[in-house]
Amino acid sequence: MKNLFLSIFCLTAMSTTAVAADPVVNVYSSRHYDVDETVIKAFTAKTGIKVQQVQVKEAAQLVERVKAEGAKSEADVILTVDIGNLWRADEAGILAAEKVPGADKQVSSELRHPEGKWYAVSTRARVIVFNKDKVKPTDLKNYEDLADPKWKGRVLVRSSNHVYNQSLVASFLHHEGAEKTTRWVTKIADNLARKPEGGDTDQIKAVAAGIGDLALVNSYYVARILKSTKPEDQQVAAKIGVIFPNQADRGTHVNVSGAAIAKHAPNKAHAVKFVEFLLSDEVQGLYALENGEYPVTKVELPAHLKALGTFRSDTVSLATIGKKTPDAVKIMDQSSWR
Amino acid sequence: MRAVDLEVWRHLAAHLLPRYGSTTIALLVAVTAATIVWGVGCAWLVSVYEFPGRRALAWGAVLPFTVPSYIAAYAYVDFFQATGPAFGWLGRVFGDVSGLARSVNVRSFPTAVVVMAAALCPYVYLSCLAYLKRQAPNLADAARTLGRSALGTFLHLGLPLLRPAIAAGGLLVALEVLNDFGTVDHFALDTMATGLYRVWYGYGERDLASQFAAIFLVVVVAIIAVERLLRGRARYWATKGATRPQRRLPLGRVGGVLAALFCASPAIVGFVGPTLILASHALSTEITRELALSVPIIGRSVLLGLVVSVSTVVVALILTTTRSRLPRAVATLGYAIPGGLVAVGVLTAMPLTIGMLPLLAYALLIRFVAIPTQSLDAAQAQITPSMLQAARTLGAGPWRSFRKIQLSLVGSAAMGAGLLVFIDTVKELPVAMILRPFDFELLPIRVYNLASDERLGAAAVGAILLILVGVPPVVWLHGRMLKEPA
Repeated sequence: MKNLFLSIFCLTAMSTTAVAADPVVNVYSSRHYDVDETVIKAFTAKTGIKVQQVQVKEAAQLVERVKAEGAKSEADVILTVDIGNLWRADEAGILAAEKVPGADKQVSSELRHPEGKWYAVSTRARVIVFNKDKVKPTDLKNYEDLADPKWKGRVLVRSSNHVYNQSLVASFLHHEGAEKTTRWVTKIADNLARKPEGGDTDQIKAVAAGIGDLALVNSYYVARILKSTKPEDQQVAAKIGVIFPNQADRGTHVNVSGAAIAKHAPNKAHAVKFVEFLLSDEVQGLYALENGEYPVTKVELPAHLKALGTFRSDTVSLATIGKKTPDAVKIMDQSSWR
Repeated sequence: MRAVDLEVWRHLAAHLLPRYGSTTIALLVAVTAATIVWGVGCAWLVSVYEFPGRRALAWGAVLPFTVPSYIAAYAYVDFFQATGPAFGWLGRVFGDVSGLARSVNVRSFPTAVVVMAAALCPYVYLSCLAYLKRQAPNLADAARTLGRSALGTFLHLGLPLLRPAIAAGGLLVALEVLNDFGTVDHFALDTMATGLYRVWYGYGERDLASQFAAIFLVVVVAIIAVERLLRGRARYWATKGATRPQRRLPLGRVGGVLAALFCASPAIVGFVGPTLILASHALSTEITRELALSVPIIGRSVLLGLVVSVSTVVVALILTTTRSRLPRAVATLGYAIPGGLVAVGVLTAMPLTIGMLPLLAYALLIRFVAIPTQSLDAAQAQITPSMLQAARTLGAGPWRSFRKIQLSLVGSAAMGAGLLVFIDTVKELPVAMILRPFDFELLPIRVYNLASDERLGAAAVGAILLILVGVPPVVWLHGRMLKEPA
């Protein structure tokens, strides 16, 4: 009996590794959106190259896997969300410097590695959502304003365990220094309407429900609610407004989702084609339309993203933020922003 | 591994460890105590007494085992959060309840304890049930002859007798609580496990996370020490009269209803509740699309579950034949550490040429081998000297008598443990997430990705399927346990 199972097991194992003749590209991804399936299907339809995927939600674990696989790694393309993760992948020495044709012209310089080790494929802004009944859009302009005592018991944010907050605080640390950042983090913690819990969507819904008046969230979660056809989401959408912080100075903090080509990629040519495809108008449009992410190239924005408004983004280099993240986390450790 | 960075540890000790440590200990104590109350209570009631619905409730109490606790957490939080359906309905009936909604927070320590205890109490319930199956008739008789009250019988006869079973089940519960990430994270609690991931991802230091695991080792040793203490030196062996048909004590009307309610509560909290909430979500989503994506991947989980359960039992058989306690402690550690770290440890330590799928099976073996080790250990302790003597008197050689008895007792324990590992493997998340081959989607991963991306609706169909996969093994497990002769 046991032998039977083992042999079935081995057969399954072989069938997954011994895909020979067809051209393939192996994508290791920590992205987790439905739109990615659409993109992969479109790529295969267009190029005839089959996409094999490994999805690991935590990019740090994905990086460990590629690192452990070493020179034998089958990874061709590495997809991550968040700046810190791309930087860490680069630090781990698992990325190849590979120029993707046309990318240098399409993508502005802060959104790609100078030697082509990674390319942002979309951006998302960390915005402030407010309850329209209780807050006027002119009441606050900057991330700094969230620390104002007048918002005591009115601010909502998810846990500082999450990389989106860690990167935001790292960018603040870069611009304002440790002392100001510590004060800002502590004061935000004092202003919280409740202990940080849930994800970004939970904060948006809590603003609409009046649990707090302001929330720090990623833009695509707002876009998702604006686009939703569910009545309960539409009720939420009607109650909230969006502020892009720091427009008068450094710009709104943006995060990226990025693609990189693995150092030991066995199908490098296909990998380049895949990243090129991610930067095509077709995919950039899909990211925006289906997932509410901002394109990195110049394509027309869908209506619901246009409705959010245009903004200027913080252009601090991604590597800087990656480097500052551990210190940012240690600053948050000392506050009650759990 | 890199040297220990004292400065970082000083920072951790000053700012994080006190909070993580105290939450972890509080959660360990509270959840384990709650599972013992629930598990022992149900096992005692269904074994010693007769009341309406007893048979159905006896297997209903095992059902929470099929629901991964993080899924129960997602379901309950969604339903009872201030913006969720529960307060929505209340609002429609009673008008504005937003004040109440704001003051009741579902993401709290007490709710986490209840949800985790319901999910984990089958461990204690099953191990107590196995003991009571042999002892219950004697106990009922003893209670009758001694004229003890119901409570007195339980406290003076039942509880001391069940001590080893409680210790065995409670140990597994405590280790599950220690390694849990998904559930505590969703309830916004900070434990050692969430702390391990914070330093790993946030500080970007894998080595520090591994050093963190050393603290887990200390906690595990402490838990095992408590288990030993609980188990004590006592060995309780069933006496001759145990195999005759059971005569349960009938309960009065009020008593019967109360007993039925108590025995129904784990199933209601740990199974019916989450399943209903998920079902309501599933109905409002594109069911056929989700089914088309989820059904084809069930077979994979089943196959993986079979391979892992057979191999863990084989390894546990080998581990428990040695006298040394060390292998057992090491085996236990794999069960106590968060799966993500186990997976990465296996990745770094093992040659990758053996292929990703064998590697995944190996990591799951490390993760779950504690379960059969634990129950085989307990089963071997049940082999009484008189059994061996009897076999010898009947003319069996020493080897043959050893094997016959060993096989019947240990075999049944191995079967039970194998089933538990099977269900655990089917539900397992972090190890499989990291170590999967290309395009190897598994049900729990799909469910978790959707649910943690705040799309519970789409996750619900897969979650219900995942629960359903566990139901037949659980029912079978329970049926076997009650039927087989002692």
